[in-house]
Amino acid sequence: MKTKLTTQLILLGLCIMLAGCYPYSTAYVEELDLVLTDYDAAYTFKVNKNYAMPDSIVKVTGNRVEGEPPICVKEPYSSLILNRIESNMTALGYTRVDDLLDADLVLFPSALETTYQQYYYDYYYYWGWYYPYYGWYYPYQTVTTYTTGTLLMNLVAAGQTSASGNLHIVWTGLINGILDYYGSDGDARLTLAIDQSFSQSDYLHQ
Amino acid sequence: MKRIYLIVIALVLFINQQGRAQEAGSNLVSLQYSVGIGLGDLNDYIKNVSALGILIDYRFMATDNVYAGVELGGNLFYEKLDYASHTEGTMTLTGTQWRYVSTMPLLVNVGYIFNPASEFSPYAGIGIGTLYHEVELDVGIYEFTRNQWQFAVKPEVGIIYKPMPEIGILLGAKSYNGFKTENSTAINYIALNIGIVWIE
Repeated sequence: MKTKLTTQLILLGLCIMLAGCYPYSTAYVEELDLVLTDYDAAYTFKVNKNYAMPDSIVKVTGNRVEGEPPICVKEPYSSLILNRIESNMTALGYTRVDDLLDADLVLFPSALETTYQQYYYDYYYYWGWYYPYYGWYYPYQTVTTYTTGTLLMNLVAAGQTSASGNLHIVWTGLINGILDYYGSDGDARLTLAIDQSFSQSDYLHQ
Repeated sequence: MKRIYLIVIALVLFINQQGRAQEAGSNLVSLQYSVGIGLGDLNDYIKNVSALGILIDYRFMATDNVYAGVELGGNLFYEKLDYASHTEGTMTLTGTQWRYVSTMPLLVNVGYIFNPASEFSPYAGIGIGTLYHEVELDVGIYEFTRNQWQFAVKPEVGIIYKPMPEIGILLGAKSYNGFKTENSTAINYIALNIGIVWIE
């Protein structure tokens, strides 16, 4: 009887120990940053080296009122992003021009913020010995909120529009990450991600 | 994986353990810790060896040497890739990746135990059944999951050391060979197991 109890306790302990080892952790918010790029394989980048780019970054809010100016990304982030894009484009052999008529390509940066809410329900109980703390209780709800920021860079072939008026996007860079206002170094994360979006796009080289 | 552990706990804790020598008609129940080594496509996806594995194995001795039984277990393979790039066609995605593959074989086994009356009893067997697996890729805030059942065949060899008539220690190696399906690649891995055997 003693042996049986001992072996059962050993088994129980072993199972609990293994079950508790499920490896899943995100230690730093920058580990959730991601960079996605895509391009039109039929487009020849090498002969088109002049590009134009706006001086501001439109923020996509989804609730813009017709006739009102769009909301733009504030400083110093706007300059940081535009300067970094320009330095990467220059390094790849492109020349920024002011006149749209001189441009072979137009780079449109835009940004958006998305807030997510996660609801987590659980039951708790205190099967205790101290009145009145015993029995099952109603479920409680935990709400987690986090906001992600996305920077979208669309490189468009100037003067090329489809019959339906759509622009011809030849390259897209998308950067997405958690907006962390307190902990991580946001500027460094943003700079790294912009650099990565160009460095993983070898075909852009002139 | 937690579901597997719960099933294992339930199965093992409710088995009545009364010591008896290993012979025709006896039952062998073992709880094994398992280390998995991925092969083929599984190894291409996750290079790390799985140190998280557990298995419960039941064998009924049809004769003094021949057994038939079932096994249920699970291994978790995982790997973290720091800021890795992955290209698919014209699209390239870069970010920290967490890759998981959890496997759960559920097999019917037959085998042969050599020298069953001896303190050391080697055995060899084969199992067929199904191999459930779940593949998960976490990148950024996104999670991509796919699960699938596969037909699987598993040869195995091992040895049981019996210091007492009713308790033994098992060392074994199993080769799980899943078959490719329309929606998933074949899951293949070798599991090295060590466990306790109860003989009743």
